[in-house]
Amino acid sequence: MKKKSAIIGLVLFLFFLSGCLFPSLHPIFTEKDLVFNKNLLGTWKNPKNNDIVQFEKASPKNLKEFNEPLKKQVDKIYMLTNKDSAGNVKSKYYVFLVRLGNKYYIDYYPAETDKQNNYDGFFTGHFIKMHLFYNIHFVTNQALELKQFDKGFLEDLIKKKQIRIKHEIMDDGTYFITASTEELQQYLIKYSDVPKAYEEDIITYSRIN
Amino acid sequence: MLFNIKNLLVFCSLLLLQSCITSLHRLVTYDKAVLENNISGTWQGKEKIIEIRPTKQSELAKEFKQSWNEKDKKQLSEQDKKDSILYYEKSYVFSFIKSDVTYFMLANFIRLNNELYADIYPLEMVNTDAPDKKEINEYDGKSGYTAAHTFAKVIFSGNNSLELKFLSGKFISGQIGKGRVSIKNEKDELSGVILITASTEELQRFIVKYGRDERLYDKNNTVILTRKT
Repeated sequence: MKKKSAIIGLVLFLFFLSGCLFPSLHPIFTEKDLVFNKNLLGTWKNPKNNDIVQFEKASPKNLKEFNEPLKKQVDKIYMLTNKDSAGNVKSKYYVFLVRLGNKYYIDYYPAETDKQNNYDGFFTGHFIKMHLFYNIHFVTNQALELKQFDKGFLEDLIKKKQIRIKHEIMDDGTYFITASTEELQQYLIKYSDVPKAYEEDIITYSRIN
Repeated sequence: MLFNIKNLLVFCSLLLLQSCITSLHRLVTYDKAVLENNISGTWQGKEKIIEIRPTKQSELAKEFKQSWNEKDKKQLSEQDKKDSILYYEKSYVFSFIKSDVTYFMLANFIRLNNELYADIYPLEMVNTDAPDKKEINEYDGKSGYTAAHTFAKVIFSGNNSLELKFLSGKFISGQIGKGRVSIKNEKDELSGVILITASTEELQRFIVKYGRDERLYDKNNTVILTRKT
């Protein structure tokens, strides 16, 4: 969430802070953790904000920026297009479906939209892509539930020294998670059944196509 | 043909993205930030005109004049005082327009080894074509992005020309890979891109140690600006 922070009255745009989300520099998966579920393919609607998300299978041409081992997993990678209610493309992501223990998670990693490709490369080169992840529950073939991990919960654990997870502390005191995939997986497995580890709002999607 | 040109532009922007190394932390601290009056002005780059103004005189500051006045009356905490030096009193705003989008970036300057370095950070993108000058929020944390810093050595040639020699991602990544340079970093395993995570103090020590090594910079990462006004 963008935070407009007052700095001695000049409200500088201390942009791009992550708010309550739990972004991570590293993914929650290795190649062996990826799974494919064709039930995810299709077009889904979030009835709360009328956003439309479309999951498609990735093709090799989508994966040019990735390393070779990951490119070989093309059959297990999705492309997600997020549109507003008017059909305008808002964002695109690579999506990785991951099974850890008996639970499923999805890892979103930003992909450029056509519009973003036209922005100034020097400016956009100042942004680091992060992984956003959710617990995913296939309720039925027609409904999905996504639960976001709560950043505040993790930050409290770090502050109270109840967890050791690699991170950096930013200028404004927020945490930037640099934990390895292994550490992230341990966190997910340990806290997956703890309700407080998740945001209260559950994102639901209904299939429309 | 149009398709090919578009692909080429995308490729070039990807190259740029990979060639400038980014840092999670800043290089400049409030106690070492300097003002460099020569840098203020309108500059012609290869593809764009860049306005550089002290933050106090920038368009961005005008937008918030009212809230400045209100805040100015209040007692400032020690942290606010430090922030005001870094973000307001001793900083500059770079702005430029490209394809109906205005870009704003914050720059701080520091002298290390008697040389001038810039620390550049993205602030805001505004769609100037839209009637309400709509802000573009596609790179916020919610969308999966975090803003980072880039660093450049600043070299003036007289009063009317300057070079911004950005730190070369290719060289630094290569040296890190070979174990020849020790600086805290993280590698994005998916793309292979290196992010420097060294603290501000470490970054300053790194520049003091290697800043005069010309291999740290390369032509592809050098921006030459000529003064227009």
